[in-house]
Amino acid sequence: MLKYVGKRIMYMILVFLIMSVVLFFLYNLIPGDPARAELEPLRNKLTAEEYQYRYEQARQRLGLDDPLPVRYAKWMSGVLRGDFGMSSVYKLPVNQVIINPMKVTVFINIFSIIITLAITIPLGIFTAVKKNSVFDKSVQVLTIVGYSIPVFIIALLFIYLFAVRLGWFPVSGLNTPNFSGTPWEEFKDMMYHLALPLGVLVVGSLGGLTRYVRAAMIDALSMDYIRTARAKGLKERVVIFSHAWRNALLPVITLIISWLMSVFAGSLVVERMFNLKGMGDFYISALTNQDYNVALAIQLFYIILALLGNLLSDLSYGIVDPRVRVNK
Amino acid sequence: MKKKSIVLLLVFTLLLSMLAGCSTTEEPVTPEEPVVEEPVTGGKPTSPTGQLTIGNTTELSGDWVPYWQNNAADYDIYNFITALSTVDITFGGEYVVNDAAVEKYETTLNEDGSKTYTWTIKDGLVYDDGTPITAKDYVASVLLWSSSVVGEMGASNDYGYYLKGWKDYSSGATKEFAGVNLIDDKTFSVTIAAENIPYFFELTLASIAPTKLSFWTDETVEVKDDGNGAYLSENFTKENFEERINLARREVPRPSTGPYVLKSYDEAAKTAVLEVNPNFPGDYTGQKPLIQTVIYKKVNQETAFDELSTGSVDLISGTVGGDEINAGLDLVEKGGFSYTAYPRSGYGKIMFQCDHGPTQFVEVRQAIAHLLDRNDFAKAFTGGFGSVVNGPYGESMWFYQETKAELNQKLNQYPYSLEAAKELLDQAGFNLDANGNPYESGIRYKRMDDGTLMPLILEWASTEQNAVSDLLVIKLQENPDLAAAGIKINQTVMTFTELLNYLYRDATQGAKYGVPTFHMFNLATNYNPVYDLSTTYTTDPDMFAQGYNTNFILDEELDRLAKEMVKVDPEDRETFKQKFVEFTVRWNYLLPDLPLYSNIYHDFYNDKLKDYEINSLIEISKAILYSYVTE
Repeated sequence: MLKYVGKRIMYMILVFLIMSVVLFFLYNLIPGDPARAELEPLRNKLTAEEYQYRYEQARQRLGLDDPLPVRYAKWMSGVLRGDFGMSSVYKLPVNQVIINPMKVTVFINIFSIIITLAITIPLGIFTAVKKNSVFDKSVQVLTIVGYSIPVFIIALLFIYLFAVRLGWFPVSGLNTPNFSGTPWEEFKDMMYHLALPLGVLVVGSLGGLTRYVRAAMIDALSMDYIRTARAKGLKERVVIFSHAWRNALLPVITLIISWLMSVFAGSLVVERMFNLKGMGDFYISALTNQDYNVALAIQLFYIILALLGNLLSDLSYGIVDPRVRVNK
Repeated sequence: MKKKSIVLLLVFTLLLSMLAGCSTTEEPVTPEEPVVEEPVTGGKPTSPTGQLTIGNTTELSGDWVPYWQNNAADYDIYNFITALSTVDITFGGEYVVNDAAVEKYETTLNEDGSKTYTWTIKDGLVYDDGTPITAKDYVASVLLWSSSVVGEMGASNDYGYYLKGWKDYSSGATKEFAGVNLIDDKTFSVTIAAENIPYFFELTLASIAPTKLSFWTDETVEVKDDGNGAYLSENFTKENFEERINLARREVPRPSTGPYVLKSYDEAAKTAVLEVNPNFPGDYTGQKPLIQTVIYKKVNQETAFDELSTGSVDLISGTVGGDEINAGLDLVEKGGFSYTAYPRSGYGKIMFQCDHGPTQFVEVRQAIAHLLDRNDFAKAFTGGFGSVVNGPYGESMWFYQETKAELNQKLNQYPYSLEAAKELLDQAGFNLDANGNPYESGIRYKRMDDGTLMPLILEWASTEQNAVSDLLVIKLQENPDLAAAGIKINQTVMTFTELLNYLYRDATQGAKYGVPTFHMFNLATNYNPVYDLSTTYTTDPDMFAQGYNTNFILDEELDRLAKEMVKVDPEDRETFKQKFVEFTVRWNYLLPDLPLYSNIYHDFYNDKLKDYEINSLIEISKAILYSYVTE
């Protein structure tokens, strides 16, 4: 087992290094001159000589005059020490500016994932057990509708209905500006602001996951061992949860683990619509503002997450299904 | 047991979210809602009261000084918390001595042609925390923000750029700043370098605001002056203070000299809360703020008017899109909301590069102007909330307003006319076909001095996802009259960065960019109250090569007029206006740019905001200073 994990980690390091080279060189192929962009506001003020002097200084400070491989080596040695460079927009170290969006995203996603799993797993199991019932058919129709509607449409509908028409929730934001109260009151205020975005995220995810769980459960329930379990006279609850669900979990686990890893990934549409400064919005802003050090750092982080997610998925198979455990 | 616990946990989380979301049907309490000092029942209060939330589509970055970045939202906050400068601005965009900060001042024209402003500040000026403001604080601004220390940290250390000795001081060549002197606790002087005199906006060159040096460094750094110019003590080095300065850029709370104090900033929500500064003595007229709390909040363009209608924000500033303005006007029509409309100080434009290809000929540029119905274009693009200008100005500028009648007579409006365009093209020599025969149909050609034929094909660079470009395709590129006139326009869509590479002909970014390729670009330009285009149309070879003159127009007269316009005594308004008219007439003839539309900005607000007046020459902080709210 340890040998297997060790091999996988070595493989992950190799993939990470290859991806870092590819991404670094791709970003540096994009036309643009950060030194020129920095001096743009001063262009009409400075004389030609002063402009040239400052331009050269800026290029030197930003390390733009080095050949690309040298720049990569410098950047990677920084990355390995936890230094992702400076954000060209915030003029601060990347790992400093990334903290707040990450906190927002993790906070939102934890609740979104918990609520979604709390609804979809029981719902998927129930609809599989009650296959072809009126309830099952109704859920099928609703989930296909929810699955088909783009998230931004759901967001606009929610805003119009619950914020503008009914006035139950605020249109956007993370908290009431200038709000001050006990930590519990602040938490309640934040949840009040997050009710709509969480609702949108949950509704947007319900369809897919419910149908996935339902399909896995239907497969499991049609197996011979379920018939055997029932023939043995086991209670239906035990048949469903101990026998069917345990076996249905294998395909679902991959999905759930990727979901758990996505706790760090922001939802661009929801964050933009509700003015939440999470990772999705932050990443797109970094790309549009050509803040490539930030964009690179985020992408590398997601690569690590994806690689870790794969490893965890594979290991979790073994936990759920002893047949696929690696013993050597 | 374990399963039950998990189920219970899930159910609890779900309920918690729903309870937190649904039970709060009433607005969350804001315990720190300012205490209303006196009831306001619709009349103008005499002391600060109430709260105003400003919605802005630009996101705050949290860097509160404009030396490392030029984010417009951060700059708004900067203006709320920074004042007591020696110079203030009127609503009309004119600069005046700030009587709230200046007790007296005198000017001296020196033998070397430089000009010294000696400022004596008023007694009793203090920061928001009560710390006295002395002349050292004013001198500290110039020394700190011109220093090589902040320059090496990536800041634009150009604070005292126009003052004598800036170059040596800012590069670290000299310890002293020759053009800045500390005279006593109340008096200091700044000397404008001879090459910048006369200058019509001269007062702005001597405009200095105080900076609390101990906030940016520590108590050990001092402002000194031994007679050769002011300087900072030797312990002010990058090694000693880089970390502190970087922290101070974002620190909240921070010293304030403006009408408001930055009370808090929520990085996650991108929201800043400003409270009134009780020690602010007023602007140049003595006006003090009447709104106790100002909240600056990021809003989305898509939902901005939902925020306004639900009361999440009280004011949305600078709305430009036709759809958004109509949404705002719908709210106004329903009642409970008002708006202020004002012209933009700038315009969207087609920018020509005038040194290569067909656009090097003025007649071609003029012909393009005749082949685009700009009134129709402006109406379509701005949804009817825009106008067309015929020169490089904004309609709110005082010197435009005072010369409007004369300009209207002298400026060519370039009305839509296929015949006029054809005539101009004939005049320019584009009167041949591809075989060199007299032109009858198709694309026009001109025989050049070397005997070759130049086709009348314009290469146009435009950015991706650009609504102006899309409309230009319909109104100009695909206009049948353009083909009838014998012109063809090829559009190339690219990123903005790549467009800039072509615009500046920046060969350092790739050899292809150094080659003149595109004849026209669609861009936009804005003017600030310091209307100085003296380098925009430069013919100086070095500046030309570095891309100062992005039109690449080599017209000595235009360059001369642009420079002469600002080389005028500040008191001589008539000469400035006369030069402005001459410059604008020449510009209008040469058409380095073709203005397409100038927006009418709309600020929408609910009825609790009163006396709100704004134009594109002043900052929103100034408009809020004169406003008040009724609850």
